[in-house]
Amino acid sequence: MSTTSNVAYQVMWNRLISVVEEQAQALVRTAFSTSVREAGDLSAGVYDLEGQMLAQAVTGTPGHVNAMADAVAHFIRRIGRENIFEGDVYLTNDPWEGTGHLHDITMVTPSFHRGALVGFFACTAHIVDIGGRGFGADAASIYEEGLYIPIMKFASRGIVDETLVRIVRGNVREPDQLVGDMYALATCNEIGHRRLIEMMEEFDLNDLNGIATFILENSRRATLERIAALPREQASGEMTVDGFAAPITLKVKLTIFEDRIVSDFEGTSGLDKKGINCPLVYAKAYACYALKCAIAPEIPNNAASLAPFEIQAPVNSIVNAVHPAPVALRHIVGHFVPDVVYNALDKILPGVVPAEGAGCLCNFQVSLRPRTDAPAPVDAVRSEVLTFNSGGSGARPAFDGLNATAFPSGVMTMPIEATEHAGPVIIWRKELRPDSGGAGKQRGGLGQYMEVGAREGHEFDIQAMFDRVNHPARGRRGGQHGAATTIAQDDGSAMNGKGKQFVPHGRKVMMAFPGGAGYGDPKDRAVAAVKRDLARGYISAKIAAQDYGLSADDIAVVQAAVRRGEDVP
Amino acid sequence: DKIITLLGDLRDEATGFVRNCDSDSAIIAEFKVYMRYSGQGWEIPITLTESQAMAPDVAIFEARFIEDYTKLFGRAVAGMDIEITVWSVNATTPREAVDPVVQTLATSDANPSSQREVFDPAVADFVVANIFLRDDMTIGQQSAGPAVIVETETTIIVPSSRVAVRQPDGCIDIRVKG
Repeated sequence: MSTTSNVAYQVMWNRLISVVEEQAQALVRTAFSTSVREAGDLSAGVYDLEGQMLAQAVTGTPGHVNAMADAVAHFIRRIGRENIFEGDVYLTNDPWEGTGHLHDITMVTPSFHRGALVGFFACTAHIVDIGGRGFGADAASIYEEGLYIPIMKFASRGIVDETLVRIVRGNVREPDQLVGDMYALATCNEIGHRRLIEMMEEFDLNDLNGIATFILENSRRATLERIAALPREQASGEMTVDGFAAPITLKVKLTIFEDRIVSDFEGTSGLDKKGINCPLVYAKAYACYALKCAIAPEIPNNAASLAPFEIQAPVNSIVNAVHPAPVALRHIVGHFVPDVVYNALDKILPGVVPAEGAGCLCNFQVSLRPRTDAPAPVDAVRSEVLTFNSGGSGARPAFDGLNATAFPSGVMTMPIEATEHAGPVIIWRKELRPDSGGAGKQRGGLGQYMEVGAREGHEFDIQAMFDRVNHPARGRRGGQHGAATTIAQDDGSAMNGKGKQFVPHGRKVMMAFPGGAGYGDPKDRAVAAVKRDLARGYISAKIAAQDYGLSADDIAVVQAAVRRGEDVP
Repeated sequence: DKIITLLGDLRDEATGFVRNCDSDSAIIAEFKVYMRYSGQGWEIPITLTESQAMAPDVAIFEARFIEDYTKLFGRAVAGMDIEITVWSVNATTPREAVDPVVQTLATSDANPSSQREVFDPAVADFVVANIFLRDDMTIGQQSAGPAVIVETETTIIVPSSRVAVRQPDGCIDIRVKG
């Protein structure tokens, strides 16, 4: 084979995407923390010699993968090309050179073939604890948020750095889970490397230069074609959310040029005192993701297809927090970036983007310990349990929003069985929240109810990471708002949407996660869809009548059909 | 002892069931345990010999796990507890021997029904290929690549470098030309 044909290159490209997908699955199979093995809060990708991402696994989250797309170049610079050897594995949890907070570990492994460096594999996983104040918004600076691991070698020529492992073990609350996950990340890259080498043998490649050029050039060309076809316009969008100490306003000015789209966050709120600030790399990851979903969704993610999406933000605005700002919950602001970008894009491209949704994940972490108000049973333990949950996504121009489904994050909801297996926690209730999806021609996705408590003999602190308590998702083009977040204890005592809060023995936390907003006037919703929603319990009879104008007769017919266990006529 | 009893019970139950279906054939029992590091969400199957299963030894179980884990995932995780989540015994009768089919060499050329272009990656170009209907190919008929052998369910692409011969059992045998 003298010159490689485009078809052969296309086959190799698809193969690379499979390689990184297997890489991600290896991480899921070997990880210790539920955030990785159940929720898929991870990313995996393969890079060329310059640190440009060639392919990423479909499994994973945009915040990780698009941030990690920039990370490998930092690794090459910090480690130094002369210090890169076969068998090495590098890592960091640097928020600004990795993926935005100390609770993500990114690992990079150089890939050698026939004695020469041919590329890099990288992967990222969210870890359950990194010491400090624990995963939450309460720290006043990065120094309180946990152990910082600069870009360094986890393994040098195949030998794991035991000093590093001991330092990590001594600084975190769940050392087995963390060290186990570090090994899982190394395994993940190892599997990717093995499959890559098999592929290079099969196609008789000495390096990845040819395929890298093919991937990047085609992706760049295809993305630029999409951008060039858009109107060269400018529009602004803004959205206000709860924040921690004070509400945060995110502002963006979107400008479409012939060959790039610039998102400028001038005018956005400044830093919060607490850890919900977002490094630029993470805000950029979500701004890119939002635009790419709307404009060029089927072009595979890589360095070239991401490059035309540029971002600007004033230093120490909340989307460009710099060291030493606290950033542990940077996802809250990051996950709202797409809604803001869409508010602007909707003015340029009507009928493309969804209404606002729950936005940030509805995560909470419980720190359980033996009760202190009375003698605790001997089998009571200390444990950290992190759960990922979702509200409803916003209604789309032609479809309803998805119920209890994460957008933009894309992580999976953890099964409660897996959560309860991780520690002495009990999830008393987890069910869809009727009437929480904003009414509209297309209805917003439903949020969910959750109730959490501890097993007998335990008390706990809950780290709440919720937003949209005071600022529910806003409807688009006549659609109504989604329902707001609520949180309280079962005796009615109020709780805050964010921060670490004590829950005494025997008490539960009652939560209702927000719904997505509606799209278009509810009066235009198809009657059949309203009846179906009523039959399935997505909306109550009251909302069916009040928001959608369903007649009392129709409601009675639907209710009778449900009682008989029949389909809606 | 518990392990021996458990695996023994499983074996007796499985072989007993197989015995229901076949009263005199020999019965083979295969022992597997599903192991992982404590805290992981997924296990890997570890196959044990009958003697390993009937004389359980922690050191052997651990060594077998670490061996297979390393093979699958690259490196063992130092200092973690290992657990077994599932014990299983699979009982079967031995697989029956099959009569081998005699390899048939090409005796004649099959008749193409038509032609079309196919992409041959090795040539890195489109080539004109004869199309053959698989059902029309008789024993010993050959179709030289580039060729396309079609049937309702699927299509076989024979590259330029290969030749395909219909075998007595209906299989298509594809080999390098010459």
